[in-house]
Amino acid sequence: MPDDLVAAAQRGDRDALDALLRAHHDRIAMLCRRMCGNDADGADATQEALIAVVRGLHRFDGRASFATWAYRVATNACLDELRRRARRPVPTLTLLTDVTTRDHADAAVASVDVDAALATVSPEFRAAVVLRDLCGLDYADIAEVLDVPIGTVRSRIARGRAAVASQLTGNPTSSPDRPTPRA
Amino acid sequence: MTEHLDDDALSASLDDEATPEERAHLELCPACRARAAQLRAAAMALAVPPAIDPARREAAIAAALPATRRRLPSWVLPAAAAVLVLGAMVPLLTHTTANDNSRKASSNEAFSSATTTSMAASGSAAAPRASSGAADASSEPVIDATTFPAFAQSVLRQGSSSATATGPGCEGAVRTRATVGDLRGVGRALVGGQPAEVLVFATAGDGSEAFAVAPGGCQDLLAPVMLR
Repeated sequence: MPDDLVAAAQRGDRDALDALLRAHHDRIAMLCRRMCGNDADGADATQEALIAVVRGLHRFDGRASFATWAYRVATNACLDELRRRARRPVPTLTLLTDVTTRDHADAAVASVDVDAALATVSPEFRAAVVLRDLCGLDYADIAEVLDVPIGTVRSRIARGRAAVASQLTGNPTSSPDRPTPRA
Repeated sequence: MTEHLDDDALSASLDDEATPEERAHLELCPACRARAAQLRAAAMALAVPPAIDPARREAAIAAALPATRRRLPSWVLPAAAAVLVLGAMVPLLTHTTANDNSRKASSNEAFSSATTTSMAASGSAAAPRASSGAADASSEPVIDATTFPAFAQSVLRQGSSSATATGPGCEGAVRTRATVGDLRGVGRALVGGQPAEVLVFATAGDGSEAFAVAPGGCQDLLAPVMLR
């Protein structure tokens, strides 16, 4: 991402900001979709993430790449969203007559197992493995996004992959016949 | 070597993050390679990108762009000008003879009666209201950063929390806002020259922010404003 586009957006150039959001929307949306586990919640989290990016843009100082910074903002938005939903599972706004496309069963068959598997691990663990396998960040960048040591990143990624592996094999203890692994 | 690698090490090996000792074990251990293959399959499943809805992309970007710099839809200015012109004509029309009263009744009721629920009689210049039965548009406040705190406090005192959420893409946008902050109340104001429902949400740190639901669409009006 050209630095001048970020700088122009920080100066209030609306067109630059629009371009910046478009450049990063899809990767943020994919992260949020996978973090939240369904289309509707993912869309909500994406919108909040973009709003958070805009509102926090003046705080971006260029020490990390803009993409890494945006991932951090989006991850935090997702974690906040999931915490809010945990505290308040039922929306209170009575005008909400349509919960829209929460179930795209046919279209989402391919991802059902992944979503179900990811739901078995905590959001913080989920974030690590999604940032690695879906977003393609390396361990160092994930450590920066999540503000945890690289060793923790490694462990969280492994936990997420193991959960998905269990779903894919249909066996919660899907390890091959091996003696007890080393600690 | 009888001890096998744990999932942390096997997973790391897929990303070239394993130690030399771990890599050496993996080369010689079929059981660990089999487990690594399972984790690799999981990583591949996780790498499948979910579909992105173009409509949601546009809505999310539009909602994130600052409202203060938002370009108004092309119809807003002509409609607002027509409303002003017709509004200026109302006092003149009230001084005409009684014979004219029947012909001008439909225009007057659109712009001066707070009890009317029909906008059709006034012609195409007047934008439709977000909901029927609302107060006269001329009595509704215009929201800006200065007036919003007073407006929000007024809404809170009234305690109204019903809204119709009309407008393109509004339901989803409102629902999104509702998941972020608690709805404190709903009031009415002029937004872009037309009456709109304004939803006041609580945000972190005792702040409040306005979110407009208007026939032309939904938008955040302001950055969060502290009420106290």
